[in-house]
Amino acid sequence: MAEVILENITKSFGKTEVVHNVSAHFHDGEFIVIVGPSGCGKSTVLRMIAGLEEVSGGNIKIGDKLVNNLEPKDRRIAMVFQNYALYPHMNVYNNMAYGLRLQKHSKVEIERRVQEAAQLLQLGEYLQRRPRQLSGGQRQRVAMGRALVRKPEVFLFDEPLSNLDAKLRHQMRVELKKMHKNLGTTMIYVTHDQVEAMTLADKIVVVNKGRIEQIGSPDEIYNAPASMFVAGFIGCPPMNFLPAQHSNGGLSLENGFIIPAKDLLIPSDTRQLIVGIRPEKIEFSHLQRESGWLEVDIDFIEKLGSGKLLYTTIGPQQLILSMANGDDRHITRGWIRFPAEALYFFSHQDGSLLKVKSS
Amino acid sequence: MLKRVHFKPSPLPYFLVAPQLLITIVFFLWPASQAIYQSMLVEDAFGLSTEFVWFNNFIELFSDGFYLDTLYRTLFFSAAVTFISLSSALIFAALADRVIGAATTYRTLLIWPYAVAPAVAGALWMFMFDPTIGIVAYFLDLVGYDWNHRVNGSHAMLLVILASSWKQISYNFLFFFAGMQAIPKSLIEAAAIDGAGPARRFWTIIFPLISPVTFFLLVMNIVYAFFDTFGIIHAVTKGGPAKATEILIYKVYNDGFIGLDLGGSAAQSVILMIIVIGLTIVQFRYIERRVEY
Ligand SMILES: Nc1ncnc2c1ncn2[C@@H]1O[C@H](COP(=O)(O)OP(=O)(O)O)[C@@H](O)[C@H]1O
Ligand SMILES: [Mg+2]
Repeated sequence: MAEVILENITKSFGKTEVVHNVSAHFHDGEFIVIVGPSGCGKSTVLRMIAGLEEVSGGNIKIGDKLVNNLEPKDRRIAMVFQNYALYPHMNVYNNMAYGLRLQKHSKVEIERRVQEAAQLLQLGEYLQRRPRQLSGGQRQRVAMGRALVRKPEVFLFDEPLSNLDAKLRHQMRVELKKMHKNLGTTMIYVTHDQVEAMTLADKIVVVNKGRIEQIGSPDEIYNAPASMFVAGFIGCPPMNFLPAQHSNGGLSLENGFIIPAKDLLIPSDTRQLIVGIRPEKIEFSHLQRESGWLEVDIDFIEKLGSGKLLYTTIGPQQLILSMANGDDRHITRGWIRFPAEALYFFSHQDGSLLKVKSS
Repeated sequence: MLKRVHFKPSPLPYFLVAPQLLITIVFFLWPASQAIYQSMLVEDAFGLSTEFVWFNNFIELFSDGFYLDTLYRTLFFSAAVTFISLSSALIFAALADRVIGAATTYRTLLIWPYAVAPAVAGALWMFMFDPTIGIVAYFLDLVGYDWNHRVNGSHAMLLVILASSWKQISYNFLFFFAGMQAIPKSLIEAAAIDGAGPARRFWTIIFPLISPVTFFLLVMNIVYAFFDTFGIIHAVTKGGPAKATEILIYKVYNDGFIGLDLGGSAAQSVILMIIVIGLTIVQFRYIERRVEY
């Protein structure tokens, strides 16, 4: 077990820098999820921790040992690849035993560890099979098994579930979480899927264009996003963003509607800003309401089973409302309200979160 | 089982395969049958009369010490060429697989020998090793080694083996290299994390995974050494000195066109034909039930 510390990590391929000055402190036993859109540099960061890529600058420490110049095999890590990277010419047993043999463990010890992992992952009856004779989910578990038997101090996962179908993905997510609970080993998990990030992580690292946007617990990330990027990336459906301007009565939206200022704490030092609100925080009513309520046309409704999404527009901006089931009338119009306590304000220029002046 | 789709009978398919069939008949079946027929004839010294002797020519061949010598020589030559060209190509491909920067240059250079005609390649090696003007012979002389492939049979054999192997390395390299490139990088990385160094990764991961390629090349190289090395041998040693580099294919030519023993030469070519058919069958059999991962 070990903590992992990144100090000002940069990575360049040729002249292009793809990871910029990344620093983070991952504590022993934490489940870390690095999340971000495709191509943002998540895998590169993970591969640098694994030792598969050299760092262009900065330091990586695993368990207070500087590992910059250590070979992958000496970093006491194990990695699960997106395509599983199972050895196609070896059966399941040998796939798991390969690394143990290289570590010169005794035959008895190897047998014991492989059987243990096989039992944990329900692979017992497949030990003699070749990877191509297994289903996607089974291959995935073999890849896990191969990481498990090494008893590493840090597990590294690079989008391990993205090749599975939705149901299996959910199932494996739960198993993975259980596994982490039992082992208590530090795990660093890379994904582009914010649902995986929210459900698995003790600590989420949101990455955008090679930079860390925010580090925090799932709740912090969801409730107190540090930027428009984080707010838009985490949460499904994503947060609504509406450009707005200061006006006498409050905040005026592009269609002229004014969110009343009396109960708002508006950052006062900027005229232009962007208002954010999560789809489930918008209040909706069928009945005509008075001031503070905006009348909207509902363009269409998406039924999710457990609830529904209403799509409408404010000026040129699309707005999504998330609602519980219940009233199944065919809704074509209604009145909405933006509760003051649910609003976020972002800078018009760089999308950073604007602090609300406490008054 | 595949279900057959039934079309109305039409002459079109026959028409479409006709050119291919025609080529096979004119350039293979016809000459092959001629050779087989020829191999059962004996012609007298003046070419005045021929006699049909069934398999006598074959029986004679296998009781002929010279022919058996040539057969063993060919086996040795082929084994040496195959081994040298395969193993060097494998080493080059493994190195090229690891190079990232100058990979294209390196690859291009390695592919060049393949574009050189056998006779030109032969001439090149002959000049390099020429006992009087050759650069290599000169350096060998400097270190006190007396090189002369014109009189020394072993020297001559070594030279044609080297020249023939060199010519084939490019071909092998291309296949090995393509095979290695097809292995997902993450496999190698997984092995690296598992603790395998470069050499062990090569022998336990890469080499087993390219084994289908290796087997294919093995057969192709044997075929090459048996048949396609004629040009090089002809240019470098003409089978000499004293038949030291005369392999089966060269003997066919020597006995038939120089020695004018048409029946015996035809019998030899029939034997070669059987060998190549055998090799082809092995090849196809293997490809049909290729090692599947
Ligand atoms: N070996 C490489 N050579 C050049 N560029 C690379 C290499 N690996 C990754 N990149 C670039 O680095 C960026 C980040 O890649 P990656 O870490 O794989 O993204 P992610 O895993 O977040 O999708 C991408 O723009 C990608 O094109
Ligand atoms: Mg990636």
